[in-house]
Parts: sequence; structure tokens; C-alpha cells
Amino acid sequence: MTHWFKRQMFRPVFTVVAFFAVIAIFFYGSIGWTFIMSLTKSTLIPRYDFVGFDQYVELMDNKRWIVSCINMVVFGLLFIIGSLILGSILAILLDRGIAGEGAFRTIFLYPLAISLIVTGLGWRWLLDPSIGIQAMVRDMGWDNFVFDWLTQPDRAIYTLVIASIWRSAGLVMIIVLAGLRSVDGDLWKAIRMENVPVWRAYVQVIFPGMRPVFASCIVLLMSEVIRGYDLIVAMTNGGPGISTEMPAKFAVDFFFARMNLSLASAASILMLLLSLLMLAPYLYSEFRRRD
Amino acid sequence: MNTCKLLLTSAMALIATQASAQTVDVQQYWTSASESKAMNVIADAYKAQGGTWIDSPSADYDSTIAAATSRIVGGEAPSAVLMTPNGAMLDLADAGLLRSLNELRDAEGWTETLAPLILDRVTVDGDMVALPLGVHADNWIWYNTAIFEEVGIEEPTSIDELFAAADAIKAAGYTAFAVGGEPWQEVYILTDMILSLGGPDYWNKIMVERSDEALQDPLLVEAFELFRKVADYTDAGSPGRSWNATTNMVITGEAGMQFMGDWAKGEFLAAGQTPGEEFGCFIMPSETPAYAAVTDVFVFPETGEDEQVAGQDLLALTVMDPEIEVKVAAVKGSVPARTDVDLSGLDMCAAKGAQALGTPGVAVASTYDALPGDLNGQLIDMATQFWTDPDMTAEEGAAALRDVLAD
Repeated sequence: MTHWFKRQMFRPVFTVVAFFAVIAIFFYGSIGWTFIMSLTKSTLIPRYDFVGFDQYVELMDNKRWIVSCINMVVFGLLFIIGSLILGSILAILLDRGIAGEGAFRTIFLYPLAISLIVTGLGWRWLLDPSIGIQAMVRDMGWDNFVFDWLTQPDRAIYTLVIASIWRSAGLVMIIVLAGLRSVDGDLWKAIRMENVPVWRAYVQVIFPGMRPVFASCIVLLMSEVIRGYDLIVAMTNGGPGISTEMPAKFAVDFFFARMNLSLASAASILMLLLSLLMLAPYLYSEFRRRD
Repeated sequence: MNTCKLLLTSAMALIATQASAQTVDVQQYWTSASESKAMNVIADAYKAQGGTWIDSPSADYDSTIAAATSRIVGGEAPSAVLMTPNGAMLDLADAGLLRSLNELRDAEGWTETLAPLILDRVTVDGDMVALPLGVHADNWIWYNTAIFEEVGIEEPTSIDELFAAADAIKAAGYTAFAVGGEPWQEVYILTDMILSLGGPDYWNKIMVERSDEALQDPLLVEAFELFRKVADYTDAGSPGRSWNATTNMVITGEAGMQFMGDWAKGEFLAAGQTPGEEFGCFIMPSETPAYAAVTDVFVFPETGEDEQVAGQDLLALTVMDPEIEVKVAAVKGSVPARTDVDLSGLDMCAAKGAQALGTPGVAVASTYDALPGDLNGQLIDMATQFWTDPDMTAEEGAAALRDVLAD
């Protein structure tokens, strides 16, 4: 009995140690190695001839990188705000006791089950002016109808936003809906007694109480923004020109197609810092609340 | 436990007996229909001579290089890697990871039989480090013969005639130039113009020597103006379109011409068309003839295993066999790298290419092969920015090109 008991004591420690060792080697070890590479002049093969922060300087001089970063901010803001608004509206509609809620819930959640590559390809065909929506509307008789954002360098980024919102709004909807379902029934009774209009009840009473729910949504959506790669590859491949490039695609391209290990490493390290920066407000508010 | 061991030992024994004295592990990316036929020509000839061929295919060039590099650095080097003689090959050669083939070269007299440009491309610091499988070129134009006949034009022989032809095709209601929307397709139009205006000498000055003086030449501004001019002859569906969908426009008679390397021929052939009948080809017209060559090569990483070295020797002789060179070229649509081979089996387009490659001073290394490091990538980024931003002037374009190429 004591022997068995001791073994149980040992196990959690062992598991945790093994787990942390794996994380330390493969996660933080890789980050460390990437950082070291970013300080070298390596091209195809890792070389340890250090040049300090030259690669970072070069990166700041690289128009494609700058465009990528700006795109990430524009895309990130529009995508997160758009998904939250659309997802919340869908959640409210379902929460109002609509008939066939289950069916709608499945329909709205479905895009999330489709791979990003398929999503991207589908939207690319839809938005392609010569075969997609534009061509369809023109065939119906509106000959001057123009919707060619996908091929306009200054508009293409918005097509990515549209496709991403279409995909992620369902996720936001389901999380917000879960939050709405956990709202205390008494609160609704009070709202009804006070005769508050429904929209004000949501905006001013219900949603402010659901802050953690929205915070989770934002963190989930943010990780989509930073990782953003597949959808871009399938939909625009960074084009027209370099107008829809993103940092993750920049790093992958420079690692594997451009054989520029050091510059790609520098880009990856900056992406890590960027994502920490984006998460900072959230982490800060979480920790502050706990104090 | 014991059975396990037994199985393992017998499996190892089996492998040992199966492996003959000559083995190659080939990391390669020729996976499309015509490409894999070409690779099989080599593999079959190699196996016929008693060698063991281990195929390690990857999906594309990038993943081949990534896999090969990981294997080399990890100490499990493949015995042969398919690549092009570009910055990546220089990197591998500089790090001393590639086997020098000088002994074989001298014994077989390849210095005499290879086209001079190609020999130069595969030689790094006096060491021959790669074996050419075949040569392609960037600066071809493919056209639909039916459209040319309908509007009554011949193959253009100068840039002016080229644009006159484009005007005629446009007036007849076709898209004159089928242009795709991938950055690497767009850059070819620019480099075609530069090569056509400047000829091989000027090309070598800016792409190989990257001389500041040559990069100041107003010729570059003119090249950018012509590059921009091509945009007037394209269709609205161009952005984002893949190269083979673009070639298909010429095949189906939607568009008159396409600027594209001679791998485009594979698409025409796959559609059941014959060169000289339904489609035609000509090298970008210019004052001084020029041919921007891209070479497919095998490099042999140092493996340190006798069996693999013997395999590499056999593979080298197989690849360089004149008969095999011609067979590979015929299947893949390329041109043999040897100048002493029988060209009668090649189609009219390949014959034109072989003639250009064999004429002294005509062939130059394409940007893909000539530019070290990621300069070619930067050039592509720059060209696609110019192409998609109509507000950028030709002078700004030339300045941006200078920024990329000047050291």
C-alpha cells in the first residue's frame, strides 16, 4: 500500500518535469536558436558568423516587410471587430428564441469546419471578377456592376477580411451564445420590469457583464491574425503585387523559397514580439483583476 | 524480444545483400507528367547498368532544397540533389558540402562538349560541382498560329514589330498578351525587355558583374516603359492567374501571345497541339540575339560512403551520356547541355533553343541562375510592385532596380 502510494506521489512530478523539459527544449530552445540565427548572416545553411542586429535593420528597410506589418494591423483590427459584431448579432438573434435554432447554429458554425485553403479558394472564385459575383450580376443585366476588389492592390486586403469574418463569426457566435445562456434569469426579469429596450439591455447590461467571454474571443481571433497564412496563400498569394503580404507568409517565404535563414529568423522574432505586444493589454487586465 | 532482434538482423542482412555496389539516393522534384518521364529516362538507364536507385521525391523545388539541406546538415546526405545552379548551390559549394567532379570532367572531356555558359554555371572556384540535365530559357514568346493567320501577321523580329503585332491582335478583339498574376511571371516581361534592348553584353554587366555604371544606363528606363506598355494589352482576369491557366488562353485562342519560359511547351503538347501547327514559338526579338538560360542540374553532396560515391560516378556518366541527354530533352521540352549531340530528334522550338545555346555569345544566365543570395527574390518583389502600381514611373522603376542590384 505504501509502495503504491509513493508511486502515485512520484508520477505527477515526473509528468510535469517531462512536460516542462519537452517545452523547454522544443519550444524555448527553438525560439532561442531562431534568435541566434537572426544575429548571423546565414543564407541556406546555418552559419555562425555574427553580424549583430544587421538583419533587423535590413528588415526595417524592406518594403515587403513593412507592407506585411501594416496589413496585419489593418486586417487584424477589421477582422476582430467585424467578427465580434457579426458574431454577437447572430448570437442575440439565436438567443431571442428563434425557431429552428439548432439548424441555424450548425449552419453558422459550419464555415469553421472547412479548411482555410478551401475557404480561400472558394472565396477567390466568388470574388474573381471574370467568373464570380461580378460576372454573375452582369449576366443578370446590370452591365456596369463592378466588384473587383480581389484584383485591386488597395482593396484586396478587405477581401481577406470578408472571407475571414465569414469563417470566424460562427465561432464568436457560439461562445457569446454560451455566455448569454449563463446570464441569470433574474437579471432579465429586472430588465423587463424596468421596461428597458432590448438593444439597450444587451449593450449596456448584458454584454458588460460578459467581459471575460469577449476577452477569450479576442485572444482566439488574434491568434488567427498572427498565424494568418493559409487563407492568404489560397486566396491572393500575397498579391496583387505585394498588397496582401503578411508577416507569417514573409517568414515562410524567406525561410524556404528565398533561402535567407537569418532574415526570416529576424522576421520570426519580431512576429513573436508583435504577438506579445498585442496580448499585453489582455494579460495586464487579467493580472490586475486578480490582485 | 528475441524474435524482434532476429527480424531486425535478417531485415538488415536483406538490405545489405540487395544493395549492390552502386547506390544513389536522389532528392528530386520532377513530379509532373513530362518531368517524371524525363527522370525515368535517367533512372531506367542507370538501373540498366546495375545501379540501385532510391527515389526521394519532394513536391517542389523549395521543399527539395529544404529536405536536402536538412539531410546534409543532419549527416544523412542524399547522394544526388536536383536543383538549379543558383545562390543555394553556391552556398552548398562554399560550405564544402558538394563533391568536386573535376576528375570525371577531365577524364570524359566535358570541358569541350558542354556549352561554355553551362560549364561556367556549374563550376565554382575551379571545381565542377554540378551536372547539367538540360537547359530551359526564360525569354520565349508563345503564340496561337490561328490568330496570327487571321490578323495576317508573321513572327515579329523586333520590339516594334512585336507591339505592332499586339496592336493588330487587340484590334481583332483578342487579348494580345496573356499575362498571369504571379510575381515570377511578371518579372520575366521586364527581364525580356532588358535583355532585348541591351543584348547579352549589357545583361552580363548588370546581372553578373552588377556594375554601377551599367545600372545608370537610360536603357533601363526604356525597358520599364515597355514593361508598363504590355499592361495595355492584357485582360481584366490577369491578377492572380496561374501561369498554366494563362498558357491555356493561348491554347484555346482567347489570347494571341504569352511571355513564358519553354516549360510552357509542355502545356501545349498536353493539349494535343504540335509546334508549328496550332502554336508557334520564337525567342524574344532583339537587335543582338540573346537566350536567357535556366539549367537543371544534379549536385552530388559529399557522403563519404564508397557505395554512394560509386553510385554517383555511374549516375554522372549516365546523365552525361549524349543519348540520354537528347532523350531527356525530348521528353521534358528542354535543350541538351552538350553541344555535340544529334539534334534531329528535337521539335522546332527545341531546335531553335539548341541553336541559340550553341551559338557563341548568345546564351546568358537567367536572373534565376545569375543572381546570388535572395537578389532574384528582391528583383521579383520589385517588378511586381511596379507592375501592380500604375503610379510608379519608369524612372522610379529603374531606380528601384538599381537599389536591388547595386552592391
